[in-house]
Amino acid sequence: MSELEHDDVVSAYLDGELTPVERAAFEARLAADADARAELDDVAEVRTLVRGLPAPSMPPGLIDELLATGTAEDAVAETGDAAPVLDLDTARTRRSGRARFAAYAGAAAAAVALVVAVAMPAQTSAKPALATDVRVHQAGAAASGDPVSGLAPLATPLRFGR
Amino acid sequence: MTSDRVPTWEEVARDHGQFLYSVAYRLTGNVDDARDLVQEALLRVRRGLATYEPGSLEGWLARIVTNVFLDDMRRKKRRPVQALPDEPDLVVPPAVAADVAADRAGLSTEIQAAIAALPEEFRVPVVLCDVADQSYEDIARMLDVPIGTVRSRLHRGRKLLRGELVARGVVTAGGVA
Repeated sequence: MSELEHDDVVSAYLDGELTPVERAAFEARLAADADARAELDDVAEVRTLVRGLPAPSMPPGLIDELLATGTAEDAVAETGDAAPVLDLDTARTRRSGRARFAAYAGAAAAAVALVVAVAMPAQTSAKPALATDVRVHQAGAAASGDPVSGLAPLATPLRFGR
Repeated sequence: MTSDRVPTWEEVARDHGQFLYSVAYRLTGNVDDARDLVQEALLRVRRGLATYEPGSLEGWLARIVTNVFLDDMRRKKRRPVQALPDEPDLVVPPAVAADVAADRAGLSTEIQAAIAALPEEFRVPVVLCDVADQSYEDIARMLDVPIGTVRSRLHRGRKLLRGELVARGVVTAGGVA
């Protein structure tokens, strides 16, 4: 199989990457082969679209920010006490870390709310039992005339069970 | 660009930051990763300027940003990024470049999405050739592969890209849609 039978010669032709001999042979093939011409048109269209893309806009202030960071790194080299320039992993970890922190904080808040919601009914049901115990104890102290028990009604043991 | 003088780091950042960002954005397909790539590439430029030999500065920069991209891809394959929770209000929305916002429904957005859909081994030569305007020989040197490999991957990449563009309705069998 000759070199020109590979279709990658089409892209190489468009990019000016063929030798003069290869180019002449491919142009002779184009003249005789409608499929080769169609292939050339297809690939040329894609190549033109990508090459015609406008330059993407940089985030505002990106270069100034990086230059300032670089200046800070120079200061580190001279004084040894400033924040170092971040490498790619560190920068990404810090950025995603902020998002993750927000996510974890939300999850933690939800967990606390769940615990409180579960615990609250038990506390609510304990209140009548405690109040009842205090009232019974005070009534007993008053009836018995025991001055010590009457002074310490809150020493009544708490009972959460039934 | 060819020059006999070694530029300062600040000159590279100011005069070629847009070039670095364009290549980075076409390789990664999103603003945040492109920004990280440019930052890391400029760090390597700072470290490497002492050994830079005047010649094709943009070729040198394209090689650096491509190496940063490929290093990052290898790292991600070894250590997949953990997905963040799905709740939309807990996730920081991705930043969007001004031209993307203004041209969200436009052709360039569709073309960028089609490039991003290419497997990395085809995307890299397409971006280096059609965005960074590098020769096959330079691309082969950057990727440490034979020129024939660049030629075949580039052509295959363009054909795959055409398939992506047809699927997105950007081009038809008869031309641009």
